Amino acid sequence: VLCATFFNVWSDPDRVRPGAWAHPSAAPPEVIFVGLAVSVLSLALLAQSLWALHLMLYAWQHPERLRASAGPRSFVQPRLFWYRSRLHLYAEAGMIPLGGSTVFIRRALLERVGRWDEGCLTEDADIGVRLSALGERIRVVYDQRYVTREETPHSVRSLVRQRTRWHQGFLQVLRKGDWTRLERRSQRRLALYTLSQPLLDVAVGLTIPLAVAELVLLRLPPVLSILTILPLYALGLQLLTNIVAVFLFTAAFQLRMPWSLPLRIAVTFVPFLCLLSVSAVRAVYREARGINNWEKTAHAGAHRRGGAAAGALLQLAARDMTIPESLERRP
Amino acid sequence: MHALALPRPVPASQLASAWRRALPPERLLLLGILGLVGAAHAINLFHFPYYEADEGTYMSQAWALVTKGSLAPYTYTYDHAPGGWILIAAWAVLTGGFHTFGNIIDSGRVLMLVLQLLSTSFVYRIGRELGRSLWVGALAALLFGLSAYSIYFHRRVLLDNIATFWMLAAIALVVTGRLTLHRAFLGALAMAISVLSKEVTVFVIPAVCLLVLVRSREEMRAFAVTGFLALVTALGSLYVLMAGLRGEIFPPGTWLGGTQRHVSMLCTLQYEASRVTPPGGGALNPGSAFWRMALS
Repeated sequence: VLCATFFNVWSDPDRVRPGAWAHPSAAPPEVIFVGLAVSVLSLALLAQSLWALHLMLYAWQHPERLRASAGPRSFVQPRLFWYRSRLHLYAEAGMIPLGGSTVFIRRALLERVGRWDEGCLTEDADIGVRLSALGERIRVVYDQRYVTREETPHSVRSLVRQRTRWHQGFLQVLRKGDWTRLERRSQRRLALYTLSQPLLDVAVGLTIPLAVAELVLLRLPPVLSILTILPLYALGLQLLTNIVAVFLFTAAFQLRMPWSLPLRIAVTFVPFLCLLSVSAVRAVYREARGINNWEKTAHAGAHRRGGAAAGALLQLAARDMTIPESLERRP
Repeated sequence: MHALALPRPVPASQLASAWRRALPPERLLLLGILGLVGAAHAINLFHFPYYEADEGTYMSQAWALVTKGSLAPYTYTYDHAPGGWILIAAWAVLTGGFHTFGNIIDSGRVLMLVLQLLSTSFVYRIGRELGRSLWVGALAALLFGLSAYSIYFHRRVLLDNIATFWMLAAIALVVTGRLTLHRAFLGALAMAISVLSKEVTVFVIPAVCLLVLVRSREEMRAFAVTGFLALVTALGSLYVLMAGLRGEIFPPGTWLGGTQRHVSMLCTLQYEASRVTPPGGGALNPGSAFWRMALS
């Protein structure tokens, strides 16, 4: 009794048409297996990209809480999304790695939480997590009239150093384990995801070339091929979101946007992600080897000459801290 | 006197208010409409109208998907995007095979009945939201569900009914309540599935996009509109991507089409576009009746 649903018969001297192996039933099992493995990886990558997109766009759904956005000019988009959207989600979840600037904390609370950890490369994220573990609510207030200008890295080299420092700092906070004392499981999950971002960036850096190589080298059934391409679609959506954000940013601060800027963002997007991956690999290496010196980025002072505007952000730790009256008034 | 403490009877007024909470008048109205429309479609569902050839085609394609893992029992020629019969195949798998309700076409017609009920409730919802009145919704739903056109065509296993269902779902998602980014993106997903079920709803995309533009608040408008368009385009492009992966976009004999004989998406598109009635007048022919009428 023949149970198979599909037979492929070629007699010995036949010249099989190139590409005939691409038929779903004709691909050898080991190819299907590798394809399935890469597809599962791709789906994980897709899920992570979509979640990242959710974080990027979170607070734009709640405009009644904030008025406008801000961030430094070059390499602006990731910082913009951090201040404008992600921090609000973190504050509501009760798990917040603070930003590095314009933070207000009552002295008594600072003493109670044990001050900043001077050995940690991202002491802001560290103290934020420890405050969250104490159950303190942190208010994030946003108003573009009160922007803080921030300096951005002026070269690729200093960008990689800065991101290495941030990534390594997050790994340090992850290893310190204060986040395990967070009250709710959802908070601990969010902390784990946020703090292991460097590891995720390494994974993303490795999976994308893998998916492309698999697409070119293995002739998989179309369904599996499409699955492995989906993460690239998600990356495309992230790129588009970034470009839209730059339009909104320049409009909000009445900055002149060079017509070539969206084009440049599009061209440099994948290299930028690669730089993040390189920084993540460096951070993991340095943390594993116990190298902990501060690779200081050079300061050019361009932000003081005007033009660039930076994150407008007030993070008010502790429940009873009042917001300055001028901020409460909305036009 | 009372040895047994009987539970105090619930006052009638309380019972009535509990009923009202569970079944507010509006929900009762919608249930009534759905009952009426459901009855009009379900009675004699398997015997009127006669089985159309197309119904058999789509059911056989769904059958091929489930049993053979291919998009059609013979060579798939890109006559339509496969979204419609992927849904039919899923329905068959979920309801325990192709013969649960009788013969294979009857099984598809039961799915059409389910879609008709859901579509009617979407029409009600859309009318209710846009007309800001219960009665606009009710009238629209009754017209949609009871018109002679719908009794005749909506029973049949046609891709148009499936595409209409997803299109109405997209519009209902966008017009109901406050438009959030999630709703806009879910609307894009539904719209893309609609186009992938039958390509004709591609012409509705600008209208739904306009709804997103008008109904989103200023702060998120840019993200809502660009995200909507990007998602629809991205999901729709999966169809072209599939053809590309199978090496079947360009016709054989062209630079990118190779020399082997095979079906091609572009050939089919050209053929379908020239197939418009009256004969000889396709949208690709600038001298056709269509263009003469459009430009006059």
